[in-house]
Amino acid sequence: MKRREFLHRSTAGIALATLGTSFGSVRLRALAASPTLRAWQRLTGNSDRVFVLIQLTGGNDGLNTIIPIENGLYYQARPTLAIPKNQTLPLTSTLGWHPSLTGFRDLYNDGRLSIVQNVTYPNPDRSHFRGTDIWLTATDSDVFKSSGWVGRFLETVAPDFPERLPDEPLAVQIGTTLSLGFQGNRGTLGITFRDPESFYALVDQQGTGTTYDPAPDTYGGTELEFVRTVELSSQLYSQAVKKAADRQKTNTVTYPTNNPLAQSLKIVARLIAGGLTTKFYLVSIGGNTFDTHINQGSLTGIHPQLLQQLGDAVKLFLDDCRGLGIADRVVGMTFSEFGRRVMENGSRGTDHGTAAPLFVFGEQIIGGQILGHDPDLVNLDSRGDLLMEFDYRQVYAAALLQWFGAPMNTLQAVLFREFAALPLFQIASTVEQWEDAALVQSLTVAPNPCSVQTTIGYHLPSPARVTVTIHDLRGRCLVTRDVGDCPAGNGTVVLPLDRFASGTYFVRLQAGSRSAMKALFVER
Amino acid sequence: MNRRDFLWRLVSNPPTTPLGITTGLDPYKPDQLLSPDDALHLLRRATLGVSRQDLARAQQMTTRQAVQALFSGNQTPSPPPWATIDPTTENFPSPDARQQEYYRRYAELQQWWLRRMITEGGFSILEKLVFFWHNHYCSDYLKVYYPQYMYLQNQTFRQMAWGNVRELARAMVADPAMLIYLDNVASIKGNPNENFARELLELFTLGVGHYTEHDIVEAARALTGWRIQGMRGVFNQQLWDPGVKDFLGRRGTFNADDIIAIIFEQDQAARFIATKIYRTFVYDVPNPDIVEQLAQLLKANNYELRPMLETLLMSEHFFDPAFRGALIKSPIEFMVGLCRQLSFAELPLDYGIERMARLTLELLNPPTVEGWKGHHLWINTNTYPLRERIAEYFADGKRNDNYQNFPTPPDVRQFAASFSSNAVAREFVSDVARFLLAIPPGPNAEAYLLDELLLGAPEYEWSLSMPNVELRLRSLLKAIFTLPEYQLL
Repeated sequence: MKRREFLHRSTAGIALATLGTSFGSVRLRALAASPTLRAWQRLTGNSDRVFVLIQLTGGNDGLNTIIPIENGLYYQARPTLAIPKNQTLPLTSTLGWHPSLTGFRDLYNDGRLSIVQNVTYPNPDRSHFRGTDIWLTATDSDVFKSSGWVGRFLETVAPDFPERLPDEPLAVQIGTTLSLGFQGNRGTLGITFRDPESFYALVDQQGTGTTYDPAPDTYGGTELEFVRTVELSSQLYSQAVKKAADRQKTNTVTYPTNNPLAQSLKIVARLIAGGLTTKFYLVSIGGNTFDTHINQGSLTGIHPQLLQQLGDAVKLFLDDCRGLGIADRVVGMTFSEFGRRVMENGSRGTDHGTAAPLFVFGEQIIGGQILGHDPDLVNLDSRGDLLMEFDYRQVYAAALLQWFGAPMNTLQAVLFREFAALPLFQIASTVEQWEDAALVQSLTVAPNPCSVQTTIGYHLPSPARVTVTIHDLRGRCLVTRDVGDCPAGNGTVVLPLDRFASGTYFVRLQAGSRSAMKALFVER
Repeated sequence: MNRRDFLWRLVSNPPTTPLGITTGLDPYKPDQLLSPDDALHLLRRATLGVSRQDLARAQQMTTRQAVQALFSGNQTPSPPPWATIDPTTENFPSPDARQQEYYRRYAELQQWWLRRMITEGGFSILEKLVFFWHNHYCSDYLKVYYPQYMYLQNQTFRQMAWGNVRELARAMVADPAMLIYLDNVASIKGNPNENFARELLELFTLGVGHYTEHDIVEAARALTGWRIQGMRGVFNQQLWDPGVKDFLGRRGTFNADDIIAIIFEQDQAARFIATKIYRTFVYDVPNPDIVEQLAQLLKANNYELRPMLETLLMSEHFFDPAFRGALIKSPIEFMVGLCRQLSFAELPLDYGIERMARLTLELLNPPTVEGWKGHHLWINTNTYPLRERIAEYFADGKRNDNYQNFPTPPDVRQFAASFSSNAVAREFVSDVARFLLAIPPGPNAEAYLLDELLLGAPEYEWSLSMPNVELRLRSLLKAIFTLPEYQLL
């Protein structure tokens, strides 16, 4: 049997550094010195940034995930399913965690998790099939695309795909079927496997060694080419994946074997730490298990078990990332095709609904924040379901703009139009300037949301020169206030905002070499 | 031509309108004997695998005769022993004991069905249609729980396989497995459960965009009142919402019968099924003109499926060369196909079920209520290499999970002897490849296959009586099974 030829692969790999020349706008950066384009390239040429997608299949019941503990309407709507206030884990004065979400609670308190409330899209679809497709293809509900947002983004990262396949897979799904999210316009940019060892063992590493005859010019020929692409990808990537897995054979935490999500994330952690240059990972709690039409369970039962699995798995994963030294490179989000209805149904369950909270996690998120209001149980849509506050594409936009440093025209190509990216992820900083945890803790912005003015509060451990800047979501600096030399202790700065249009901004406080950043909402 | 030197076409996004396809539903050579290629195409698409005997038989028939012969098969097979026992009359020492026995029965039911596919799936469209309906009216054994009900549903599909589509939909309203799976068994007036109503409209009859959310709510009200008694679904008037409903533009105190009747008054109901049939038997991208004609045929025949299917399978469009090899084998067509192609009935059934599950198709356990979407989703970096390994071991008469031998291996010698060209290596290889592959191999692939048959021996020495001929035959089979072409129908 002859050896298969591997024709010249893309030796450049696909590093984000190659995108440098196409950057348009200035980014928000936690930098003091004037940034040069080269420094910026070095920072966001940080091609080892990874995004982890966690799919909750079936439609997660947001109202029983983050409970509006002071809202009587919640308790009225859910006589058997409502979580009693005193059983929830404290979150805010009006919100409580479901008690199973100890993992998320700990991450949130630690600044490694944030919540985005009331996420959906206009005219939401309540079908699993369409709903999931919409979230994966990032379209409006009346638009049908057969490419996914991640696939389209990766095509901008790998412009000569599929003529040249990147050395390592750009996207990986731990599982057995390949998500629509990884499908591009020119082919499939992701691969799927259960685990690195069995993947490698399965693939015939030698192959036929023949060159392919031309496929016939028929629909059969089209399908033949598709199968051939999969055959080639299997060979190429099983080797790359095995190499990475061999470099990192262990994890630094113990993932319970009865938690399938944890087992998937365990593999992801190894591959990232082993140096695989894959940018997106998709793991899921599958089987439509969140589709709790019957006997959903309040304190015990199906939904609480799923939440426990989710919270525990993500906590372990992020702790493992710390142990493996990769925590700064990894962020992610949860998503689900829809939330569920406010009122419970007659079977101790809930039917398909609309808006729900989603979670972003990681060391480098703007952590410990809740974007959006508590769910509004008074103003509902015509079916009695929750109204939208944020479009899910605002989260995708944040991932692309802030985390991957994509330029605006890439965003347009991927999401088809502009969305106001939510302030979720830390944009790359220089090595001289890190967000100072204590300063972040002490930084207050009140009122927030505001309309006329707001007061920044802070605490300095030692005297420093203080500057306050306000940036828009695209990174442009709009206001600089040079506060001057300040003594140690508490301080405040009043910022007039009457010139500002409604929207979301960043406030950044610089104190000597330390900096801290918070989101600022202006409402008119 | 080097594998990468040509530009890859948009393999995942073929043109949405079939360009240059002019063939329609007129009969294709209806009263002429089938050529080998045409016979293979028909049987590959309409059955779960073609044996040498099937091909020989088909070549004695006209297109019309062959198509009609497909509508055969045992529609009332003997059930597993427990399948007719009313579950409410069964006692078990504990819930655990019941669950264990039920798991055992489910494994038995899966294997029962697989055995039918392998041994009785020849020259018959029956089991292909049974799976088609299982993939349409989805239920899974984990939620349904009672094995008798999953058997009953499977049997309904078998009896109504090519029967009346509207009556089948009505039967699903009362089907115990479906009542449990989509929660209609718990739906009650005053607090209807929308799950079944939604999927009935979205997935089973009309499809997204042809009804409103309000229609779902109203249909759910009309569909209240169904419960399970023993082995049947029964309607309990007391639990039914008797009020007036607005459904698809009609108004009345509707019940389940009315809902089904109104749905099937819509042309879209015929179009929806016609589209699925097209995508199952012709190509994944539906041809709107053909689908429209099929839909009208279906309606004209009062929703009897057989006349529409016969017309399609006898048509010039179906036999158009553009569609040869344009479908991707599901794990069923892959596993059962291997068995049927080599006339091999000794596949360990537990192995067959488990391997198909690894290829993402576990019988009686669809991934979601949408079923297996199939086509490109069957083939990815996880499943493609596994298919290759399963087939390679199969050629050697072995399982590829524990590497144990099958009770007997596939009889490759008898398989080879059935080819009249078996004395001439080059012709033999070509004929075997054309039998096993929906797209014939090109010159490079044929050269490679010849090498794999000869294994270094000179071509003129080839004969079925040469030493180590079985080794050589298995080597050829493995080489064919691991060509990408092998995954196509």
